[in-house]
Amino acid sequence: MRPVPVALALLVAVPVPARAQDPIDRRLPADRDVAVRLANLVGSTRITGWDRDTVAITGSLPAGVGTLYAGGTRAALKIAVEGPEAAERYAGATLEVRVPRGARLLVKSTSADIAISGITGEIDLGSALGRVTIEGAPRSIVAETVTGNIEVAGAPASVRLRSGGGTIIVRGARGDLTVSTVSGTISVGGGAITRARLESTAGAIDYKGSVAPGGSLEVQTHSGDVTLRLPPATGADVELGTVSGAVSSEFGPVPPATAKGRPRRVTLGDGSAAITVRTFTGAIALVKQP
Amino acid sequence: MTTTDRMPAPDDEPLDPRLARLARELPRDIAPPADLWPAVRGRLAPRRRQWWREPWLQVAAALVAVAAITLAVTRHGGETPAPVAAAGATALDSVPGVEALAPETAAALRRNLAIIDSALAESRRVLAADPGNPDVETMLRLVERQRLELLRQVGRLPRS
Repeated sequence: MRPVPVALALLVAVPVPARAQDPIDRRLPADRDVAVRLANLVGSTRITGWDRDTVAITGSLPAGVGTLYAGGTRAALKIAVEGPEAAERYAGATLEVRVPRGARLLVKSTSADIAISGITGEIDLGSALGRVTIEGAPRSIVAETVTGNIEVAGAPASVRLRSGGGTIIVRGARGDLTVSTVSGTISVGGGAITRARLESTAGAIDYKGSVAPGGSLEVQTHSGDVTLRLPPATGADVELGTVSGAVSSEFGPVPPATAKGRPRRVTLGDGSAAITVRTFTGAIALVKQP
Repeated sequence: MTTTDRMPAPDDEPLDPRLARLARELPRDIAPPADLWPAVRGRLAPRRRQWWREPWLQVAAALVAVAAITLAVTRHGGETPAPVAAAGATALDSVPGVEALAPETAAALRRNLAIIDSALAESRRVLAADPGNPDVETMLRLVERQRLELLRQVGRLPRS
């Protein structure tokens, strides 16, 4: 047998493995405050702000199961991993996206983790199961998950976070903050908030920080335990209401309620801030920060 | 014939006097036939909208149904958590779009709904024994709000 036909026969007979990943490398011109709508349901998405008028998309996509769409105008772009296969049937895309710092982001995922940093515009994101991490000082954050954990570090002026069963952690909180979970725990700390509302059905709530004079902190939970770790010099009018939970305070004795179903009242320092805690069965603890 | 008597012609040639006279004799106003307007009005009238096909109304109806189920279960059968959890799962299934969610997502929503419904039942039970208790009423409003938010969240989640 002659060598050339043999080689051809081998080429036909031996399957050539498909590429495991399709590399992604796209660049699109964009305004400084471009609106970016991004959907990557499975895998991971990292978005970073930079000082260029360009949106750059790199990463990888499993071969043969989807395509990357990226297009739009300088003012509004859409980036989406699209494919005929059901999302849960492939490993998912890994996207690294760089956008102008002032970009406004709308990000969606099913199980893809989302990490965002260096953005000064508005962030609005939703994920069912993915973990969400946001760093920096965006103008505002709205984030929602079903079970994915949410972690925010930085100093956004306005933050709205909601999760069903995920843990929510906020570091460096200030300004206006609303956090809500069903069964996930809430941990907020590091800053001086002016207005905060923390609520859960069953998740524990832990707040460590101060409340600005004239500010307000409102905490509500059905069965989660509440721990407020406040500076010794805190000035606040405190209302503590619970149906059957225990109440303790390192700031001094808490008087009994004046009537059934009425909150107990404690004044700390000059009473310049307003702190309200309500639980059904959850315990309430006021702890002095060391 | 003066210039005002004749109609201008494209090439500015004078009109035939007979034609000009006939033109002057034409009526200035022509009244439409008496039965014309109903036909026109019928064509102008907006097509009657099938209001029950509006998507927002379908979602609203589902939420009302869910709220009704919650009230019925938590007012009359709230002593045992199991029926409440089952009602929660049923309530979720009635929300449009839930069938398109990933199975893990739907399962997580059901778990959270069961937790909420147990809390709701507990609040209503205590409130029934101690009507008007402001702490319990506050808790009840909190849990009801969380329940509504959870059901609304279904519509905002991406479909798999």
